[in-house]
Parts: sequence; structure tokens; C-alpha cells
Amino acid sequence: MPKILVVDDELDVREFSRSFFRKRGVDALTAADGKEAIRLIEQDVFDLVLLDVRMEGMSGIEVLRELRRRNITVKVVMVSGTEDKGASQEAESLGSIGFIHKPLVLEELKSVVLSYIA
Amino acid sequence: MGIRLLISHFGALIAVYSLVFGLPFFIALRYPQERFFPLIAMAFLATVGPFAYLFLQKKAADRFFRERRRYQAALIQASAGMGRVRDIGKLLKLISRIVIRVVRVEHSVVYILDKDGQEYRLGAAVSRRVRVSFPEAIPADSDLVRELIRTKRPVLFDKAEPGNPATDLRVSSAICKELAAFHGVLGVPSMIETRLVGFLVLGPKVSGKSFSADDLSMFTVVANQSATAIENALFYEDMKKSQEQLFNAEKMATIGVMADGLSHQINNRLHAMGFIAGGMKDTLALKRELFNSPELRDIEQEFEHSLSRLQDNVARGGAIVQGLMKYSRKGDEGYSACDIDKILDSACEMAQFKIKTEQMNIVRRYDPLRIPQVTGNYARLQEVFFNLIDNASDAMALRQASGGGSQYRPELAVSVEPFNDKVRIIFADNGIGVRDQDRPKLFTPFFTTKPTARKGTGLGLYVIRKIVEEDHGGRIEVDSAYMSGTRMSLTLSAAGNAG
Repeated sequence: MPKILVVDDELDVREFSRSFFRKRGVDALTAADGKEAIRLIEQDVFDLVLLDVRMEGMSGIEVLRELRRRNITVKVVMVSGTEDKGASQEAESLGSIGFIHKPLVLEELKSVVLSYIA
Repeated sequence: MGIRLLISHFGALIAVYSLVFGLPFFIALRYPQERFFPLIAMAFLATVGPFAYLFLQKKAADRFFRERRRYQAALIQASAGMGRVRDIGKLLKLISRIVIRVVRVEHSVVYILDKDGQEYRLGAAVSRRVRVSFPEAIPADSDLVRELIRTKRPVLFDKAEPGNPATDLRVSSAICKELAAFHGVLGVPSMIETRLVGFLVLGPKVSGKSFSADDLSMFTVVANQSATAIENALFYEDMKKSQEQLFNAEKMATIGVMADGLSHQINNRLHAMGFIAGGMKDTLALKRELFNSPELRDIEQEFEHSLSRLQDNVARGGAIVQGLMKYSRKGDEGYSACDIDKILDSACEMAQFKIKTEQMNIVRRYDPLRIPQVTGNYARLQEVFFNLIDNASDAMALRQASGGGSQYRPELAVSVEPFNDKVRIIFADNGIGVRDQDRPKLFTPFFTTKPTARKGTGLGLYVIRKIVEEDHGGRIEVDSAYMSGTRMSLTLSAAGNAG
């Protein structure tokens, strides 16, 4: 079973991500903040990480930077509500493989996720 | 007055000294056998005499100077009052009231110079009688105004009276006619250096008497004090206005920060809602085989439809939030090679949020393939372009409003021309244009020709120039003709040729 990590500070997003992906045969773990995300990624192997850009504490970009510093080469797709050109450029240079805009249509997310973990 | 005062002083002197010398002499002549008493009386009276004389003199002076003292007291009070009042309307009323109360005239009217210097507008009118109306404005080139500026002294229209010191102030019949329109008999100028900032027009005295020299000097002092007080009040008003504008600019910045946080929060709610709706739809799709009766299929279809509408609304809400976020300036992303055409496209798109297409036709004359990249800050250049488009739309709306004619088609042409190692971006509109006298002030902070209440902080072009010239080392030039259009031309360095 493919395994993904959803990092988002919104409780509803975490909860519904878990149930949604499980129904689709994807094991989704969740993290509420950057520190928890880094801890989980270090412990486990994920096929994909969905990483929210703007969060309390560490931002998504900071998490990504920290992962690269620790030489962790997990596939990361950024999720952001702002069309922040600087952030998307930095994420790209840090090797994130995609950038999804919030609010997203779940069908789109599904196809994106399924294509990356295939 | 001076002669009468001298006579009365002399009278007091004679009265006192005839008593001091006369009484002892009278006693000595009447009672020759008395040797010491006249001498004692003389010594006593000579001692008391000067005090009596001083007392009488003061009494006489008081009688003569009563009017003048009253004026002095009134003036002291008036100057204190004028210094305190900062509201121009209240100040003018106060000046009129002082004059009416102290000199007891029928009415007092104040006119002050308009901001554009074309006319004197009625500032305040106080009258003892009801229903007296005064002209709202006097042109700056009227005979009365010219006479006041020329003489810098009160202008009187009164019955000629022999010996009246004011008689020499009598003026031409044209001015008399003008004064008559104010039911006035006296015009008093308020001067600052050679500038007539305002004037008082006074009605006749209640007593029916002519104005005395004291009255005239009282008016002159009040009028001159008023001039300074009026200038102060106007300056204060101006200062308050620019402070308000500064405050507004700060408020806009605060709103930007707030809009950023708010849109983030709203976006997250929308995101969660979309997620939940999508999840439910997905469950329905997965379990379709369970809806096997016609009623259950109906329910499934209804849910499916409702959830799709919910997703659609989330998407539309998201688009609105995106639009809002474009206004919130956040973070400085630094400088990078930017595609001018992309920034222009997004600025046009932003403008469409605000400006309806039928109000302005934006013609884009640029070929993305021919435009070199520019080293710049994406967000700030976007702000510059958006503001220039916004200004153009205002200018065209103004032209339309001022009778642009049925043939008038508002059009903004945006073109980009590469030349040498630079790029020139031109915004040419056919709006109202800029008046010659306004052109030097265009980039001055807080200068605006737009009515403040509606829009225009006067900061737009000031900020634009700062961004273009200080932040990007570029140039901005204006070419404009009133009622014809404006052409804003920006020159930026192509990427790789920074500086």
C-alpha cells in the first residue's frame, strides 16, 4: 500500500485526507506542523509528502529546506493558498516536484497524488 | 479730542492752584489780625494740592479715554480669542461678533480669499437685524477689492461731515455702489504684507453717528489681527488634512497586512470545505452499487449535485480571495529577471477586477517574443503597472463625465519597445489629461486633483516614481495635454544590464 504524509495545520484537512486516501487505497499519515513532519519523515519512508506552505511555526519552505539539509530526498508537493512567486521558485530550487493551489478540487489532488505514487 | 483734553487739564490746574493760593490770601485779607493761620493753611493746601490735581487729572482722562480703554480691553480679549480658535468658520464668526459688540454697528460681514485666489467668499455674517442678505462672493478684480489693496486702509462710504477725520477716505461712486450691495458703509482690509487675505464690511453705527478715528483704528487693528489668525487657521486646516492623508496611507498599509492574514484564514476554511465536499462525493462514487432502488438513486443524485455546487462555490470563493491577496503587499521577494509581458498581463487582469471592460478598452501592443527580460521586483512592478492603468481609467472616466461626446471611446494602449539595452513601456490613454499648471506637481507626495472623498491619496505617482527610479534605476516621463490624453513612459534596464 503506498504511503503518503499530509502536512497541514488544519485539523479538518488532516482528518478528511486520511479517510479520503484510505478509501482510495493509499495510507495517509498526517502531521500538524513542520517539526512533527520532519520527525515522521525521518522515521518512515513515504512515497509522497503534501506540504502546506504557510503554517504556524515552521513554514513549508523551511521544512523542505531542513529535509534537504538532512539529505532526505523524499518527493514533495507544495500546497499553498498564495501565489507567492518567490516561495514557488525556492521550492522548485529545493527539488519539490509540484505546486498545488488552495482551495483545490479534490479530484485534481487525487489524480496528482495517484500519478506521483504510481 | 486732544485740545479738549488740554483745556480740561488746564482747568484742573487753575482750579487746584487758585484754591492753594487763593484761600490763604482770602483769609489773610479778611482777617488781618491772624498771622499764623493763613501760613498754616497755605502749607497744608500746598501739600494736598498736587494730589488733588493728580486725582482730578485722572478723572478727566478717564472721561476722555473711556471709549479708547474699552476698545483696548476689547482688543486684548479679541486677540486672545482669535489665537485660540482654530476652526476657520468659528474664527470668522468671532471676528464679526467682536466688531458688532465693541463698535455697535448694524452688521459685520467677513469675506476671505478663496484657495485659487479668484474671488473673496462670504465667511461669516452677523447682523442685529433679521433678514439681511449679503453677496456670496466678490470677484478679486472688483473696484472695492482693488481700492482696499491700493490704500491698505479702511474705505468709507458715509455722509460727508465737516471735521470728520474719515471724510478723506471717501471713494468713487462705483465703490459706493458696491458697498451699498452689502448694506455697508465701511470696508476694512485684512492684509498680510501686500496680500489682501480678506476684508470686513460693516454696516452703519447703531447710534447713527459717523465713524470716528478711534473706530477706524480699532477696525484696522482687528482686521490685521484677523489676517494672521485666518492664515493660522487655514494653515492648521491644511496641516490636519495632510495628517489625515498620512494616516490613510498608514491605514492602507495596515489593511494590506490585515487582508493578507484574513485571506489566508478564509482560504484555509474554503480549502477544508472543498476537501470535505470532495471526500463525500468520492464516497458516493465508491459506493454507487449500494444505491439500488430508484429512491436511493434520486438521493444519491441530489447529494452528488449539491456537493458539486458546494465545490463550485468554494472555487469561486477562492478566486475572490486570490484577487484580494493581490492587493496585500507582502514580503520583498528581491530582484530577479522578470517577463514584462507577464507582469503587464497580470496587472491588466487585476485592473479588470476594478474596472469594467466597457469603461475602458485596453489595447495590448506587445509581442512577448520580442521583449527582453527586465531585472526587477515582480510585485512592485506589478503595482506600478496596475496603478498606471488605474490612473488612466480615472482620467478617462473624468473626460467622459466632462462631456467627452458620444463619439468618445476610452482607450488605453500599452506598448513595450526594446531599444539598445533598455526596455520602454508606454501607457497612452485618451483621458482628461493634465493641466499645464499641475504638471510640475504630478510626482509630489499628497498632490492630487482627484476629490479626496472619492479616491486619490496623492501618493500613487509619488510611489510609482520611487519604485521605478530609486528601486529599479529606471526613468519615468510624462507627456500630457489637457482634454487630449496622457502618455506615461517608463524606461527599465534589460536583464544582464542592471544599473
